[in-house]
This record gives sequence, C-alpha cells and structure tokens, in this order.
Amino acid sequence: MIKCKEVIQIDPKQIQNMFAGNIRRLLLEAELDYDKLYEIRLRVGRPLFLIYDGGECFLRKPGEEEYLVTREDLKETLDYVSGYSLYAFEEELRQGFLSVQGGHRVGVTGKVILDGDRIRGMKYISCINVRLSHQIRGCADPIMPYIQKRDWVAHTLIVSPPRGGKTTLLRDIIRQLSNGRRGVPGITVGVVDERSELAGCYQGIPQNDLGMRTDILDGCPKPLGMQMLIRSMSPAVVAVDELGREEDFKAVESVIHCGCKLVATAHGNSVGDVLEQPFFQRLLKERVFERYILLGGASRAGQVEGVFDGYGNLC
Amino acid sequence: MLKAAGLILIVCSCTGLGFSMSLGMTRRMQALEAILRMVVYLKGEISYGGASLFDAFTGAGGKLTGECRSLCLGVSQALLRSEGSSFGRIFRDCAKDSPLRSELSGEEEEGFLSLGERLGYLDLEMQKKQLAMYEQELSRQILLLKGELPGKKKVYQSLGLLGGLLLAVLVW
Repeated sequence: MIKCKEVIQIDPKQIQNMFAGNIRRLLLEAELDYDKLYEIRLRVGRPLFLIYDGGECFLRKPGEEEYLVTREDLKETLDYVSGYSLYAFEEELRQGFLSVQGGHRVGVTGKVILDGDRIRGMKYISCINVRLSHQIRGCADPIMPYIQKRDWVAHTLIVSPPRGGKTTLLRDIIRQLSNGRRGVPGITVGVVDERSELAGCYQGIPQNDLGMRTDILDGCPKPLGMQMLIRSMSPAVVAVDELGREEDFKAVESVIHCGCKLVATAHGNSVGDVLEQPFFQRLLKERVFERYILLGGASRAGQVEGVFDGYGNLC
Repeated sequence: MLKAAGLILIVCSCTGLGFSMSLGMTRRMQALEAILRMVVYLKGEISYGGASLFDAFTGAGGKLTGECRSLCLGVSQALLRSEGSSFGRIFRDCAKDSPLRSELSGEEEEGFLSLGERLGYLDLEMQKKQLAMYEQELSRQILLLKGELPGKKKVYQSLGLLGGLLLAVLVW
C-alpha cells in the first residue's frame, strides 16, 4: 500500500452542508469517519449509498428501512452544491460534473438537453454522485526516487483501474516535484486540470495543495492547455490526468519535443492493457515514457504493483 | 407668556412634522436609487462571466457603499454559512434587517424583499432577464416618484406649517 505520511482531514461539516436537510441529518446521525468515505450516491427513489471503508453501505433512519432519496432531496442538494447558482455551472454541467469547495467533485446524470449535436444542459437530474477528494501527503515517497533524480525527471505514466488512486498519487508527485525534497530542488510544474480534479479549484482557488511552483490551468481541455502552458509559463514538467483521446496525444508530442517532461495518468488494468491502445502504441514505439507506474484496483487502492522502465522491465 | 410659548411650540412641531415627512420622501427616493445601483452591479457581475450568486453579491458589496454594501456582504456571508435555507429566504432575512426597507412603500418593499426569490432559477439568461425586469420596475418607480417629489414635498411642508397655525388658532 502507499505509505501514508499525512492524510489531509476532510471537514465533515463542509460535506454535510452540501446535502438536503433529510440527508444531512442522516449523515450527522451516522457518525462517519470522513477519511474513509469516498463517495455518496443519491438516486431518486433509491437508497442513499455510500462507498465507505472499501465497501458499499446505505443509510437508514434509526429503527426504519433504508432511506429512499426523493426528488426534493436532489433538488435541494443541487441548490446547496451550486450555491443556488446552477446557471453558473452550465459549462461544468455539460461535462456532467461540478467541482465544489474542498476540491470534491459532484457528478450528475439526468436528461440531456441537446442543441444540435452540442449538449446544452441537463434537466430532470435523477442521480448525484459526490466524490470526495482525498489528499495523502507523502504517498508518492516510494515512487519519487524512480522518477526524479537531482537533474533528471522521467516522462512518467501512472496506470490504474478506476478508483485505484492514480489522481491522489499524481497530486502528490506534482506537489513533491514542485516543492522539492531532500537533496532535490523544486521545479516549475504546469498542470492542465481539465476536470478540476487535481487542484480541485473552487471559484478559482485550488483546494488541494499542488506545491509552491505549480501553475494550474483549470477547466481547460488538455491539448489546448498543454500548448498554452508551454507558451506562457515555461514549465519544466507538465502534468495531466487521464490521457485517452487522439488530440491528447498530439499535444503530448508537442510537450516532449519542446524539452518539457510529462507526468500523466491513464485508465487500465495493466501496462500492457494501456499500451495496446493505438495512440499509446506510438508513444511506446518512440519510447516516450521512461517510467510506468502500475497501481492496484479499487480493492487495493493505492497499492503500487510495480514501477517499469520504458522497455517494460521492472525497475 | 406661557400660552404664547406653547403656541409657538405647536406651530414649530407641526412644521417639523411636515418637513420630516418631506425628508422621508427624499429618503425613499435615495433608497430606491441605492437598490437600483445594487441591481445594476449584480447584473454586471452575473452577466460578465456568469458569476455565482455568492460571487455576485461579494463583488457588488465590494463596489457599493452604505446600506447596500452591508446587505450584499450580509447575503454573501449567509451563503457561505450554508445553513440549509432557500436563497429566497436568505435574501429576505438579510433584507428585512436592512434599514433600506423601512424607507420603502408597501409595494416597493415587497418587490425588494422578493428579489432573492427571482434569482438562482434556470440558466444565465433567466438571471439577466429577472434582474433587468426588476431594474425596469425600479426605474419606473423612481421616475414616478421623481415626478411627484417636488409637489408632494411642498404639500407636506405647507400642510405642516398650516396645520400648526390652524391648531394654534384653535387653541388660542
């Protein structure tokens, strides 16, 4: 498992205040350890699910059946989550999520309103998923010697299945590259945070600590953002989350060819799994990535399965 | 001597009452203008970059002065506390505590208190339209009051003075 040096505590009140009165009361009565809480799922007419301590559970009123979420609960929750300003989150809603105070992410699903081929918004929202952002300072400690020496940083790809802890690990890598560590000076890191997940910017202010030499482009598409960062901020390292689209790879090439180092993540059950994808194939052929870090799945979140070099050999 | 002093006091107090009522009209006008300024700032904040209500009220509060500043900052603080009321309720509670409210007439007061209920619903266009509607409503009220103001002020002042004189004659 990733060695936890310092888990940044989540403020329970901040989480509870996001929810409608009925749900807020249930959360208060449940006396949860919020550091073990990963997701809260609200679906109309369905029980209130929590992803808690590695498993799934639902909340109930004392001595009663499980609590079924109502449409009013969802509407009220959306009001609080958006600060009564859902209109201000139109762009985020088009992507299906919004970032809230504390760097947490609220995913929504419902009926999509289309304007031609373009998503205009969403109505009849029937499901809300609150994903709690966890910061574990020092979780990248065992990895850092493999990806950074005094005057060298490796092009690195973190591979993990969903909920494997890749964003948490990337966040700490960025922080450590930016702040520096014993014997290794800090360097400028540019982060393209397309889905506001890394820095968790809320009203422009990063809610997660990404280090003192980090420049963040929030909500910007990765290909555009990488180019913008290179042109304007001259970073030594560019960090992005979840590579996967064709445009991303074109931008990756421009990052590499201008002398910046790249630290990125990708979904996959194994390094081979990721490299089988056509776009990664090209990067593999060119030996772009010098280090691959493979993490375990949801049941082994944060567990480093191995660190591989550009040829796929275990380091 | 004492009687004369009493009569002078009656005339003075009635005249004062008339002047105070005419000043009340001026204060009502100033209150409406202050609210209009606040609405214009809110509209600007929301139109430019689609600020959330918290941002809009914080931004407008930073630009405004006097009672509207206190009101805007009060609303943004209440939003930050996020205690589980609707935005309409939050704004109404803050507006009820504002001295601006006491200067307004019944219809104007209700329009002012219900501003929060108009906001936060649907998309950006809706917010802009709601604020524009209230802005028009306020402009109309101000225009109406501006037309009435000089005449009404004179009436209050004259009635105060004449009422005082009439009372003094009756007492004499």
